[in-house]
Amino acid sequence: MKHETLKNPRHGCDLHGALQTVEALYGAVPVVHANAGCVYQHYLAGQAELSVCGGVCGPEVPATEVIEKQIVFGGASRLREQIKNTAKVIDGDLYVILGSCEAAMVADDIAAMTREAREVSIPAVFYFSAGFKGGAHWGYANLMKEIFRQLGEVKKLDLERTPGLVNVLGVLPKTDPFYKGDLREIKRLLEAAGLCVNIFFGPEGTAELKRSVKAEQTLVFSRWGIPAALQLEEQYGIPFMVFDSLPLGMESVKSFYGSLASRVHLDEECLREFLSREEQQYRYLLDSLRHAWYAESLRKTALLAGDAACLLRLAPFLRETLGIVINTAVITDARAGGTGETPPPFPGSLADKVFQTADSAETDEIIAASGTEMVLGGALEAPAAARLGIPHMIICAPNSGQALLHKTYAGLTGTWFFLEDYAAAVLRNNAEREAGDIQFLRNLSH
Amino acid sequence: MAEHKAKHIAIYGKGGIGKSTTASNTSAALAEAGYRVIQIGCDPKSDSTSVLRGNEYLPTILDSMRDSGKVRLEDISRPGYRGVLCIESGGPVPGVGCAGRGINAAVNLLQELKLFEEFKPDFVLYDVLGDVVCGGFAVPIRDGITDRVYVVSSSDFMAIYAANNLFKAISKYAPTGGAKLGGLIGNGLSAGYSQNIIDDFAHKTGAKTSAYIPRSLTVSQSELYGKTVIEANPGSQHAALYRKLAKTIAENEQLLVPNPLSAPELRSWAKDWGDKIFNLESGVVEGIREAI
Repeated sequence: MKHETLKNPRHGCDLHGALQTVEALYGAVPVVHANAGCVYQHYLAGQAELSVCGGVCGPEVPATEVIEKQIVFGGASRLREQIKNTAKVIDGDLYVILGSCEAAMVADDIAAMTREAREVSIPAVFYFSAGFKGGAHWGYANLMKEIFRQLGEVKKLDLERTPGLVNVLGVLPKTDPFYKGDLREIKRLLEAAGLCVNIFFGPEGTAELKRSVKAEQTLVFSRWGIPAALQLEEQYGIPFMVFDSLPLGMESVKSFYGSLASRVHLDEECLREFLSREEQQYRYLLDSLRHAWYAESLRKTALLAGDAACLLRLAPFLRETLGIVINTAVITDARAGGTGETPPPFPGSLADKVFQTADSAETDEIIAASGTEMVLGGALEAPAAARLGIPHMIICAPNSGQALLHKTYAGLTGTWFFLEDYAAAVLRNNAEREAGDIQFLRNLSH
Repeated sequence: MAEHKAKHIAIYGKGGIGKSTTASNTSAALAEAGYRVIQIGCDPKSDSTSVLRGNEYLPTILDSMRDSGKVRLEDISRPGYRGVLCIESGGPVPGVGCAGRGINAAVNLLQELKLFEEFKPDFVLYDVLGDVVCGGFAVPIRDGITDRVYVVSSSDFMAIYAANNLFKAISKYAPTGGAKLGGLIGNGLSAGYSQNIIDDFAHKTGAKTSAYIPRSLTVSQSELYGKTVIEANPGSQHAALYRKLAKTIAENEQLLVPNPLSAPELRSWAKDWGDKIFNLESGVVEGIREAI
């Protein structure tokens, strides 16, 4: 099944991961020191999967667009010019200078150019991103770490602890196309327990970055948030907790609160009231689906394909709440780290068969041989599901056919979105089959 | 009339080993013999052709590329001794940018400017930085640039080490149309056994030695006056040696692909020579009688 070439890996490179993180950070302005192709490719990829984002993004991204002259003689002065001109025309709270393969190969001194920018009061930080160092997840992980490391050099920070303030890391903008909804939901759950939350990738953007150093705890919801959390711990003494994924469903949410309570003081009374209200609603809506669930045969054996944190969130809910058998899981970000990174433990309990690959051709073969009744993955898995004539639902990147603003498959709100979309996927497939059967009978009668 | 075809020759070797001296004197000798010659310095130091043009200022290709959009042949070339056309690729400020890519860009530009069609040379010598630190410095030996390489080396281990690395580059590129080895040029040889070391290395790697140039005060003096030996001291022994080398280079068509030594083989070979030299200096004459 292993192929020599990788077909349609669903995520970009280190630079792309870093760039889409900056794009999603309101108030931040990226300046990319790269060939024209790097940023444009990123823009096209984002456009292809309808990656909606409101910051300085897509075709607006300032970039040096280096040519051979800058490679041969060094591109530092071109970068200096670009940073200064960017600051003149785009107001930003934080300018994030990103490198590229070309800049790394000729060792352009991005750090020195960033320091020069600071000397003329441009709040700039840098990350030596380079596509050959790792994938998009690696870009997020290291960019966030670098931002926290350098934040104190460009911003006046108030280090006094704010009780009940927590940081949320490990939900990757755009790499998780549902990130806006996911972050909004986890914020809602945490606020319900009396906490204040920095999610960074929301309307407050860089203002939350400045507050991050006042937090009493950092909550990490995938391994990609660990390097930044470690930086906050080392530099500002903020401890962190790592969760395999965001919670989904009432049981998972309750268990999440239980773990959280061991380290963070929660407002028990508020939380009890919130959970009581939510649980009543939860049971009511699940009960509403009961008839359709059986009448329309919505329960299918499922194959899940996506990043580990997404699968680890969905699998328990599918299995334990909905009674769905997950016969196969394909983890797409197992090897997305940089060179030398220790691979994460293999989550063998996810499904009967668990694979790790970023190769869409291999995933297609796995789907074809799986005997599954439904595929939950990215848009790349849709053709393989269509070939089998089975339902397909998007749970991870790449997104397609929908603009994701506040939809989430996390927390409690995520259960409604999930069940609606899950049912819609099965019903749409039933309708397609029915239409196919009718057409077949019509053809026979002619 | 048959199409005019120049021989494109790359001269490689460790930094400071005498590549530019060898290349310039060879160019001068070829020009003296009536050939049309171009010498292209492919080294960021840009001093390859100094002694052919009396140390006069010559803008490098990369300086011109940096300063003006359009580069003309007359801006970056100067006729030197007996009409040898001198060109220097130049390079970025040390520690900045990518000199390897610079060499690549400079060589490409010369082809775009149709230098060889315009000047119609008989010989083109590329004097290349010898420590092939990256792909850019191997450009002159790739398909379509030169077809033969001469490697300059002294008998010092580090020079031989660099020559062995060059052999590795040649054996890598030759099968896909890259240049082959014309020969090894022993330069700056001083001790009695120096020639034997060069010969033994050539033997071990399946190479040939094209010339042995002893260390010489005449060469050093000529360089101080900004001249080749051919120009400054045409009757000297070294002028004759360079004329002989030029003749060999002009006539040699026996090109080969060397078999570079592996790192352990090279270390072991060097140690054996260390032992032999120690014995020689201690009075043991076994095995190297001809060197005494």
